[in-house]
Amino acid sequence: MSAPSKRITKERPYRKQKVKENLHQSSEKLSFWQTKLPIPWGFWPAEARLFLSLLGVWSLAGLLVLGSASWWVAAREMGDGAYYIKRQILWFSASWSLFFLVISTSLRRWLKFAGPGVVIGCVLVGATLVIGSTVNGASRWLIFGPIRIQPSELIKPFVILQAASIFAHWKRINADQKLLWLGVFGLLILSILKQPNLSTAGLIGILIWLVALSSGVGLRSLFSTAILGGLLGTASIVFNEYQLLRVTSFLDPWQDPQGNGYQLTQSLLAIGSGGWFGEGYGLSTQKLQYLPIQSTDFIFAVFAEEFGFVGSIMLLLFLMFIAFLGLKIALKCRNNQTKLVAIGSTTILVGQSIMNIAVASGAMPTTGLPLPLISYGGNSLISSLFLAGLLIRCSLESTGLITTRVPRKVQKSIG
Amino acid sequence: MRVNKNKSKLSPGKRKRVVPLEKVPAHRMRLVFFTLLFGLCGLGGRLAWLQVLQASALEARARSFQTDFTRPLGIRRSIVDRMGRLVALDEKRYRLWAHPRYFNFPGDDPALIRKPIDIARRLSGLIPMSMSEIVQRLGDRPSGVKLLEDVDTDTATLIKKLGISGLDLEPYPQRVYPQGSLFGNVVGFLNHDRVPQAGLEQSLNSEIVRYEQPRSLRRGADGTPLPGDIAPGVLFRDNFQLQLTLDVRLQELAMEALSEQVSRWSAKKGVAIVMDVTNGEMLALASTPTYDPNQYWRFPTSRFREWSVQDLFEPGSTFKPINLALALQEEVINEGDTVFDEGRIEVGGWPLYNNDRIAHGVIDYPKLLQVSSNVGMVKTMQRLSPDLYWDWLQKLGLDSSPDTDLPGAVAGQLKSKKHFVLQTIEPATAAFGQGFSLTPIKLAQLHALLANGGYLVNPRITRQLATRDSSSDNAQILRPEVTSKVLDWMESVVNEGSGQGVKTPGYRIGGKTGTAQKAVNGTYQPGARICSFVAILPIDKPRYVVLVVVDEPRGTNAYGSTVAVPVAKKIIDGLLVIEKIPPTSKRFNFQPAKG
Repeated sequence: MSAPSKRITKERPYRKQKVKENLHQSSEKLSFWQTKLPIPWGFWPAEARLFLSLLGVWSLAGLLVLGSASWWVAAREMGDGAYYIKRQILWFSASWSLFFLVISTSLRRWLKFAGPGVVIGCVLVGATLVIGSTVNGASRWLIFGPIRIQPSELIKPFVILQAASIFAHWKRINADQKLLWLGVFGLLILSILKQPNLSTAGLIGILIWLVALSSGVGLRSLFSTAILGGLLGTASIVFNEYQLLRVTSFLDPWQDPQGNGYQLTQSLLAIGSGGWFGEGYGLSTQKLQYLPIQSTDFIFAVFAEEFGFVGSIMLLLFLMFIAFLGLKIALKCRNNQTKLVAIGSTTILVGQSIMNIAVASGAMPTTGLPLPLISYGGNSLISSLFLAGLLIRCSLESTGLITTRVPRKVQKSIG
Repeated sequence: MRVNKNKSKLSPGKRKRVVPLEKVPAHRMRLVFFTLLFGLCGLGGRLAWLQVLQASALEARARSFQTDFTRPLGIRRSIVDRMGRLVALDEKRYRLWAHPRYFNFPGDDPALIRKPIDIARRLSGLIPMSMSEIVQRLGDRPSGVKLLEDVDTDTATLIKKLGISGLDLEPYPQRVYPQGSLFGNVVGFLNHDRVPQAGLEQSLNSEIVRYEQPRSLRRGADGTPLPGDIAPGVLFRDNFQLQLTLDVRLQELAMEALSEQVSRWSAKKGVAIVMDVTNGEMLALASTPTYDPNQYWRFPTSRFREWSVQDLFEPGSTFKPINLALALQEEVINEGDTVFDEGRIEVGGWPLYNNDRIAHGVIDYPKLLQVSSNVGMVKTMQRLSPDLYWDWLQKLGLDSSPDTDLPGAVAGQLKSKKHFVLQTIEPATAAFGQGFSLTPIKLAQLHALLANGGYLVNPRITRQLATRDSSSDNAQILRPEVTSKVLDWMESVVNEGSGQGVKTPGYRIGGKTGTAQKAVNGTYQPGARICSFVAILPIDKPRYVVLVVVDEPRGTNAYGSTVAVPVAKKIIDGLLVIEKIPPTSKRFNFQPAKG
């Protein structure tokens, strides 16, 4: 029994070395694009490759769905059917550039940015309360020239990184550290609630909670926090008339289909009209200005009307597969932080999709959450691809082919 | 970074309270994964509920407001005369509905509901209702108040311009007959529910109703039509009109002349017919008394039928030229033959007299027609066997209804062949146009047969795609030399006989008067006459038959020549001008007219 195990321990460094040599030798034969990758494509773990391909499919499909959902309204209101797609493509190129930056940058470095990122995010979220632009009774945006920044959206990756770095060794850090960061997170959630944006606040809250859950924090404290959060959410709903209306109209949207139930009933009608196989791509009727905000919050309704139950189930299976890949990557990661970053990123990408679909299908009160990579909106794209990048970086670092401590050296050895 | 306390793991001995780094447990990560999985499965169930179980209900609900269902308005085609002048048309009218619970002026706070008095103030200037009337009509009802009907397009536009929310204009077509009572007898009318009640509106209803289908059209929320699932042919529209062969001007002229004469003689009714003998087209079919289809409810229902087509009469002397043509055709008489008219003849035990009871002596056929000798006619027709005579009357279609588009045309009445052959009195009375009956239209058709050289043409008043002239209808019944001979004799009636009243310098006109006794249930009524006159013109190239029939003119002097001829004269004068018939006979060009 002991002999084979010895052999394995002996072989390991040898094999690694050999791979590194191969890596070094093959770098001359690599194409231009290969050299831009942190490690050559051939050495990527299967999960990372699959995830990257699926991410591409997701982005392209998202563009197509957005095209169908937005064309009519864009043509009517903006005078250019491609108005939203053009902007989305611009945002996509920015987001994908960021994505490649993220996968080429050491996770350690990102973790270093996390703390300041969360603090700056908190300040920006606070700023929205003071100078934010108000839409639908909620001030979520800061306007910088032509660009609208939604800090509550952009802060998500940093929240994950920071949560990962705390919960990775939760039991080993000082109480004041714990208190400080829990306080910051609490402040963040409260200020997002104040916007008011219950959905993002809830999402971030649930996310931190799930990261804590995966990290192995005691169940008792977890559940008491959950109850606290639930109370907080309820209080927010009760005290915000705008949210209360949404919740009550969610319970029975048909009671006032022309008023408070309008968005939801229109969305339900769209989804129901899809039937088994849908109306066909581009043939949704509800998107023709019956369904409000059809290119962001309710884009799933358009998708479901055009592709039917079969299409919806395909999307859900796709999300399941993404979640599964995320889990796989997380399990393969070598240290606690990367594990938590991986599971956290997966949770946001899939969990936000779940919440968006739940809203559109009337399983959750109407809130303003975009569908990742599909809904129109630059902030959401940047944030989603940042997260996807983190996930892939986690996977790449799990190979051990990248020296995580001294990133510069790694880059030299490749480039 | 503060978190980098994990440096301590490198030197565990230096600090006292060192907690060993625990690996993130895999089962917790799986728990998170299963949480996500659970959420996705829940969504799958929710979507199955919506898209499979509830799909049809939700889709139906969505279609109900996405689809714009247009019920056909029941628009009817216009009816025009032979020159395209409008006789009947549909005008767009509006019903004004008010829904007080939505009353709101443009620029108002959307939540504000205006009081009826505010609406009344704005409306009262536009519609023929006072403010108090409007307020009273609105009452306390929240919606669905019909304020006004029969709103014309101009007023409707003005009301729309006000932009008042809660006022709704519902369009509907209204049948309008711009010629008033002129064509009532022919065209008929629609009742309040737009159901045709008489005339062509009724008989040609299926052709007059415009092809319209109920259509359901899906629309975007901004009204853009989505023609994806529209049924074929639903958007088809045509602008066909129903064209009559009648001429408004001639009809008007005939109507004026006829009604003047009918009222002068206190007659029951009268009809004037102008027919094109070449194709049976009617240029005028004026009937009096008639009614105004725009206000049909003011008239007795008995007027809604056209008696010239639906009622029978015994033609009397106006039938004599036709009998003569039959005799000529069978060659039982010749052109130069004469008959002896002793003023009285006894047939089968019945004495028969001339109208004026005068014995005309030996007369030839033109003279016979001029003096309208009954005895002469009886003697002439006795040369034809009753058997053959009856066959001819049947061949002329006396007992069958004419193939015509005139609504409700009926067949004439002819005695049975057995009766006709056995009872010698029957062919004898038939010889001067009594003992059988026909419609005025049929009589006009038979004179057209004389005029066009022996063809039966079908009388018609519409120009349609469908041809009604089948080959059998157009069969030549009489020889042209026979008909032209009879026409010459008829011309002499106008030049020298009872038809002198229509004599027109420069034109050759043939004619025949008739003064028939009126039989009711088989017995002749004393003093009840039907006066008629038929004219054919121009004789050298016959084109038109003009028939005037006046029922029961009062007065001892009521004859075809006194009652019907003056009407025919006016119509002929108008016809010559309207149809631009050139004078052809040089005989009269340089001679002064006689009387």
